[in-house]
Amino acid sequence: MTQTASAVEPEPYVAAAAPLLGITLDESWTASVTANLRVLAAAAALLTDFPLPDAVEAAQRFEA
Amino acid sequence: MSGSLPTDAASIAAAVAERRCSARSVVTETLAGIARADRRVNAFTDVLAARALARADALDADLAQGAAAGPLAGVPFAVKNLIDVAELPTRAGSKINRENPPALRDGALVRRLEAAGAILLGALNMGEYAYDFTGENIHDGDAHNPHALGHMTGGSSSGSGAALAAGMVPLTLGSDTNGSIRVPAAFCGCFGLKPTYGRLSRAGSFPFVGSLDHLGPMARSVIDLALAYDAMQGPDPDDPVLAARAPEPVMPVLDSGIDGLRIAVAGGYFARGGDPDAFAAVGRVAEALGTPHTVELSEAHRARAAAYLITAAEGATLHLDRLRSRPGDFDPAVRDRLIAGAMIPAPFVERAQRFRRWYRDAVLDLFGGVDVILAPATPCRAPKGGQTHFTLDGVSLPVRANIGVFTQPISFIGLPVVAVPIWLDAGLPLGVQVIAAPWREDLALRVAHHLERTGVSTAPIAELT
Repeated sequence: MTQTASAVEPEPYVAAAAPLLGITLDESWTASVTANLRVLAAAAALLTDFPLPDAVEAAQRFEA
Repeated sequence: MSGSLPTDAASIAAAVAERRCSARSVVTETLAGIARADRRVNAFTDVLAARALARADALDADLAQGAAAGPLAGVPFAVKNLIDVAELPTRAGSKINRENPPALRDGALVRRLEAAGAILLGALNMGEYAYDFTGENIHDGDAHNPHALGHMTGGSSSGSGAALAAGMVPLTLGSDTNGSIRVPAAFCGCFGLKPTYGRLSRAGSFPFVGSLDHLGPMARSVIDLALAYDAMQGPDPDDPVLAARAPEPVMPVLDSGIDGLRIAVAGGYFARGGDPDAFAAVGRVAEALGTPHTVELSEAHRARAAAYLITAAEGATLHLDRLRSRPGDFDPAVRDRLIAGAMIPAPFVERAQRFRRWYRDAVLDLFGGVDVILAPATPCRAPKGGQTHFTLDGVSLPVRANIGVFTQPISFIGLPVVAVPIWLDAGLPLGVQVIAAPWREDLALRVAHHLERTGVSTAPIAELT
């Protein structure tokens, strides 16, 4: 995934989610965590943009 | 290894079985080779001299009394340090896990290789918690590529590739969640087998992403890969995703050649986004196999995105307690990716798992018309140690996150792959993925063996200069 800027600005989300998860986020890590979350958000957008039929279920026990 | 003894597993096993050399002499020479080379390569985190010598002596005594030799008699091997080794803490490349109690027994694959006569020599360096494609490790030091010490080994099975390329052992085990066998095989110029998801037991190994984790062998010859693979197959109730399949040995069919096999090159996504050399390596293999055909794995870019999401989310779930209690003891690059992974909204992860099912069905349809698919293993040759960005197709990208662009869409649906090394020139090697349908490791290994026999693919021992 390229690290292109997403329309989403995740900083407030990161600040709110860290205590929810019980993670104490050092201020010096915030930029890196946020950059990683942007990349993950871009990956998620590729999937939410794809029209998966409702009938496609995740495999509870994946088989190749 | 070096000197008078053979360097490949098959020849060592034959020599020990025929008592042309003792297992003790093999182990002694292997230990000497490790002592010479590892100061510069840093592939090993633990060398088990006493254990290996004791096992060698026991094997020699058994053979002297007429016991049958196993197919890997006296073959030295080493394992990525996320695989349990009795009496060692399973550190998984981390600072935190090395404080755990020692493992009570060896991992399942270690026990199976030793049951076939092989001898464990030690545990190998790796990227922290396997979340790595570079071979860098801030706790144990980086593994160095024996073919160019200033370059990356690739990861996360960094020591597994480096120990082979330096000639220290003929056989290693690695793990592959998104490419961690195939990437170091490509960068270090050796062979690696990532089997079908669910084929080889992962019992007794530290997990990373249960949905995607595989264990597999790496070696300098395809016969050695096949010997090890055959010795490790079989059901194991201790791995919940292991398929209930009887062993399907490949050694009897390894020499079957490629006649009748339908082989094609992966186009589209797999033909762009890398250095021209990466595609030239695939072209060389395709030419050698006489295939003009291409196939397209549609939506491969989304498959990679889904693998990326599942990896971050499941990895974060696994490590959440450690992220809460000891975040300062992680490699910051790993920690920050995991923390971000913990924050991914659940619907995105579920969507990725649903897409996995869809993509699997689409790719399996392709295998109705083709037996083997070729693709690059990495988008480039091994970057320099410490390099953080590279330019691919004119775009500057972070190295750590993008070395696996071509491996991730394949392991995502558990397809078996043999990574074969290709040397285009006097520079560093590249890797090509030889990909087959699920449970058809035999076809990928047959093609890889053909490429090796015809001299297209080789895995030479590096001269450490």
